[in-house]
Amino acid sequence: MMLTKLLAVTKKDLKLLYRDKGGFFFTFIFPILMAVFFGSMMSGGGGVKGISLQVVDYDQTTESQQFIDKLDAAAELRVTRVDEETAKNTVRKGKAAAFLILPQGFGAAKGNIFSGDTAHVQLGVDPKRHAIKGLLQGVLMNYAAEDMQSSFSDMSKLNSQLDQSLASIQKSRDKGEFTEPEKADRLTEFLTDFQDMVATDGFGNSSPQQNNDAANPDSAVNEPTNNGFKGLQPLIIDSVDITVNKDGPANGYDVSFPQGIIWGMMGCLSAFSLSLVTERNQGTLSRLLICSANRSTILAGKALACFFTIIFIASSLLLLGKLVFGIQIREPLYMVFSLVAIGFCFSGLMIMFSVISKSEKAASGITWAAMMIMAMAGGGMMPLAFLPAWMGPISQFSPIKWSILALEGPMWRNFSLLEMLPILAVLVGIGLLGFLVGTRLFTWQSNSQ
Amino acid sequence: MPDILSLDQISKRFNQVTVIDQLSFQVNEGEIFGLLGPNGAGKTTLVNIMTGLLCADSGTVTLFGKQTAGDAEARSNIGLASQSLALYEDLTAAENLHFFGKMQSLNGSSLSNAVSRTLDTVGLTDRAKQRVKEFSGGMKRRLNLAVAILHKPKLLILDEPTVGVDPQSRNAIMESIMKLREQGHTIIYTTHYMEEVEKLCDRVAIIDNGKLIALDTVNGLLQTHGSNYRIRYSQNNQIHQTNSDNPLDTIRELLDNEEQSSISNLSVLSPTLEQVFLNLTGHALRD
Repeated sequence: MMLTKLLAVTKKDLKLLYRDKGGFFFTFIFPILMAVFFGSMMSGGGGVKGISLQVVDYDQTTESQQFIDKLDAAAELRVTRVDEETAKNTVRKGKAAAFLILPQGFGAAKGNIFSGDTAHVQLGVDPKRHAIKGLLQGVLMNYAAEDMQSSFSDMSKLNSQLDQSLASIQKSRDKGEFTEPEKADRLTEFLTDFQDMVATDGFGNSSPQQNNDAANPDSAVNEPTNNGFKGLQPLIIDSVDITVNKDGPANGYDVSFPQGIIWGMMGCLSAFSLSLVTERNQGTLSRLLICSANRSTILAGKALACFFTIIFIASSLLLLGKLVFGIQIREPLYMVFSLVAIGFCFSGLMIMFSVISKSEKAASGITWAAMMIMAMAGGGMMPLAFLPAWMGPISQFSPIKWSILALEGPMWRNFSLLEMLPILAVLVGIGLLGFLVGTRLFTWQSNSQ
Repeated sequence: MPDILSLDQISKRFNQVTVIDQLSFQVNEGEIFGLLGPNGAGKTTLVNIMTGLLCADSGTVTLFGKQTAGDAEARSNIGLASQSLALYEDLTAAENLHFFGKMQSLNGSSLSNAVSRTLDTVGLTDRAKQRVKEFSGGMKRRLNLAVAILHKPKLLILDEPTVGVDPQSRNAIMESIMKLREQGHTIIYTTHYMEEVEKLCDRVAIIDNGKLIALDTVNGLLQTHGSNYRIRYSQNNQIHQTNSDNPLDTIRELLDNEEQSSISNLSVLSPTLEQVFLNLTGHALRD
């Protein structure tokens, strides 16, 4: 019977919150707006131009510079020229999708189309990001093939490359590197005829089949054969797996959504704490007490409504963040623990705030003032990392700080269960304190009237 | 008739101010018991003590023969229509009744029937699905009464149930209360409107400054503490007034002694509770 009454109070309070336009806005809509707005601000806004690529140029030749310029101009890529350490660290931190290293000899190798080593590059991508890897290989091969194509349209360059190739074949033959010398003879004969043709008739276009082959990353990403002629490969991509260090938010939404959730909870706390004062002032509380509903049932009913609302707001925002804005939730089970602990904490605080004030204005003022201070100190207004150092000890007293940590822990902080437990314990402790103080005050006020 | 409620030497102080002072009375089953007093006399405080919402500093409250007012079972047999409108404005009339019905341990068909019955009693059936905030003051008062009677309480306490309502709603409320009396409810009716007390109440307790000044039936109070009948008449274009405890004899004498043709507009004014209150306290009820 007591449970029926408790649930009736809960249902009634949820209905009243839903019908109160102001309360509904600050509890449900405002947090979403805040999370999206600040998330887009922190993410740079306006969307991403392309795949962020950190490029390291060890070759420092005209060819390597031209190749990087071509990549830089590409719509699919966002190129930054850096040193190798920076490149790898940036990718590890998840701040760039991949790095590309052009080794020494890249420019010279690009000149040897028909002989010698094909140009090599090193591409570092997180192995889990298959799509990015495939896309980057395709893009790189495409631009390398374009370079090759331009070589065929430049007669003097083509002649020079043919000369280089013939010299290279002769050198290999002299060293006895050819296992089948007759193949070297045929290749020398072909390249000489080809050079004659270029010199007499002119030659402009490579065959479409060559281009298609060159653009196919799967056909090109392989080990070079130890043969004088390596085939018409524009580029050989050596893939390097680089594990992304997950200790950090992937984007601004990873930071703004926990903050948005906290604001929703603050709105919820304010709405419900105000409701008890309203009930007291308009006489419904007295009526409920006469209805043989004891004080604990009424408070528990309100706390349960507050708890359910908090869980609903947080779950909705997390779902929205995950589906639309790509926020991370690496440990869903820990997140469930966090939501329960945060819900309990804020419900307890709600009970405490609801009995402190006698008038609705005072209740609203006190609740929001306290919440603002806690939000400022606890990273609810700006991320904790941006707060000055002296705020650190103060923030320990803010339930907002612990709530944000409890949310970020399973999201992107990679907290273990052992790391989560103290945070959850603090939240439950604050909630218990709120319930205890609130119920004591409520009973004391009722008896001293 | 057995006592439904008994107050014995009840006192209550707020911040060194005595609000209820050694107050005692009994309410019998089936009667409408009026608590008449000016604003600030301590009526609402007394109601809160009766219902267990407030603890008396001293004295005892006995409800239904044995239980104290704070007892949950005793409270479940009380219906209170408080002076403030204890309703949820964002809920409809039916939703308010359903919620309070559940809090009174009603459910299922008994709850639905109770909701329909009470809406009918207070004449709000056609407004059941309308939100309370769209109601007029009178309609809210009627719904406030409906919530109080929803669970058929043994004792119904109506605290100033007609404050701030239009005459039409006041009549509707009065009619509802008459119906409840016919159904056998015991009612405590607090008000500062003497007309309502005179019309409704079987017995009346007059309270001023937290003290019980007088307790009797309306007629008893009028006879004991009321002034004489006032006889007014016009003679030679002048209005005359005389007091009498036996108006018939006085009129007879008047007509015998005076020229009958010179007397006009003869009227007899009965003593009122207003006069009773004035005689007992030295100040008017609405001061």
